[in-house]
Amino acid sequence: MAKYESVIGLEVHIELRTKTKIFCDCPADHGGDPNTRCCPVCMGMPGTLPVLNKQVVDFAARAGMMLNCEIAHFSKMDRKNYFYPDLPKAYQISQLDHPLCEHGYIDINVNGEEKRIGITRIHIEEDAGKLVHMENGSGADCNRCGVPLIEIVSEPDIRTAAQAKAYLERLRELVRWVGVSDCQMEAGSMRCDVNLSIRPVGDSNLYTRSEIKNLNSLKHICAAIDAEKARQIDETEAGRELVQETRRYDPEKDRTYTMRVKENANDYRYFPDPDLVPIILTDEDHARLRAMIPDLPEERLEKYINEYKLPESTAKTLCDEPKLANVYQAAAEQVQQPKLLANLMLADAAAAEIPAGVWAELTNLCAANKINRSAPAKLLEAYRESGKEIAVLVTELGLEQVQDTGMLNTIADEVLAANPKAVADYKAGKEAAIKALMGQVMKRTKGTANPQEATAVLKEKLAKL
Amino acid sequence: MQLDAKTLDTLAWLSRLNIPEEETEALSESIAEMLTFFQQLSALDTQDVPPTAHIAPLENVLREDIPAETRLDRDLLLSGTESEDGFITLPKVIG
Repeated sequence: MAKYESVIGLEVHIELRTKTKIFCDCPADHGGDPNTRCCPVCMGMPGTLPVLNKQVVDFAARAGMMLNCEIAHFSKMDRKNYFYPDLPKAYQISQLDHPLCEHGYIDINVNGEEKRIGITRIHIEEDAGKLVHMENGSGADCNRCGVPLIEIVSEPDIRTAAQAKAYLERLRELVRWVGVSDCQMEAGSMRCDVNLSIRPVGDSNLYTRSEIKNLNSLKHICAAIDAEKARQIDETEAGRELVQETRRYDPEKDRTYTMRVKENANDYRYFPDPDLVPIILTDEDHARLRAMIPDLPEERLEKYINEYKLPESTAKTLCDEPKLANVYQAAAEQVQQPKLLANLMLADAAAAEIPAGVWAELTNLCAANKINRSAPAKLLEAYRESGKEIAVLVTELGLEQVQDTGMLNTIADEVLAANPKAVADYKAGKEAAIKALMGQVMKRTKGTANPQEATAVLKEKLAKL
Repeated sequence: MQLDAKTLDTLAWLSRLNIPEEETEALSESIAEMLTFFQQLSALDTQDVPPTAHIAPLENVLREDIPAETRLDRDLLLSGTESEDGFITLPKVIG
């Protein structure tokens, strides 16, 4: 029986997938040669003025809604002052007392045990740059300066590494699902700091904690939690007092090391940023953003299986990729045959790039037998090239399915007359011979004949011969 | 208002200033004077006054998420600092 339990809170930084940075119009995506994606604003040059990116506010609020937070009506930006060479302004623009989102939660399930992990707050802030080691010192690259982040701070509700893992996995799933970040830990678009203290089981007080920074995988986070818990127990048992400090985890040695003793929170000397004005979100803004929040992934999966009657594997494939699921969902609401829609979409490798309206139109054309099942691939190819409307492309490419039975009769007669051997084979009992005849019909109609109808016409004529 | 030596040390550290021993007394007095001056503000009753977030009566000054069409050249951006291979060069940073 364990004598101590861990009390764990997690701080998660997630990069928002906006096109531009939080306070300037530099590109926000990764990559580029050093200092080629920055400008006087994000490099903190004197006399520049930051202007908040509207999309950052929208994305952060949507993440908050997905994580059951209350969204602020009044929010503001503050300066957090500290010296570090990857932060050229010597302050980070962040939020102190009026974060955009507060009081949320995530429900997790570990070994069948349900647990609710509280989310204290989510605020928006700018990322810092990167440092590299060079021969005679260090080098700073400001490309990442000003990339928009949300920081999601949990309550100290987590007790074990397994719970931390479940929390982070669910957090990642939901933030990806709502479409505001790709949350790739290995690429650095999701990063996690662990705050951990220990206490005797049964005690409800909070004791001196340490913060473990720079953890870049779930595996390391779990290992760091176990190693730090063991260290704190050893120190306590040996009668040594724990100090509040920042530590780092060394996966090679599987132990944590002191990085620095934490400065008091006061030392950041937060104050309202005079360059940025308050953010007001009205009830209308809340409603507009709320309307963009999707059902939970598991709710959607259930709907696809039970209501749309999709095979489980198909439903899972659709729900696995948030962007694809969102396109499918929007299209499904405009069609009578969601299963046909799913089949069409999964036959295309980049289905999520095609607007929902196009998918709905293709599905409805197929469902009404106005085009045949081989037409969507041709139409999508043409759509990608030209961007023209599907209805226009159907005409341009001559893909209207032949509905005209008179014309089909004429073509069938021609095909039968031109292929006496296949006709003879069929009459002799080789039913497969009809496929050759069908092929000729499809060829002469340029693939626009409805296969069922054409087969019926051929069979009828063959029977009369 | 008094300023003790420890507070001055903290301020110096936070500002990354080295204050020579012989200047500490005069500096403490000057800063104490400033604090006393600002202390006049404490005389005001702000009980029912909401905190000021910004002095200008503005809100929601926002931009659309559209990338710039042109970019400043890196050589120009880095012209005010020492650089190497496109990086801003710094003294060695540990950690």
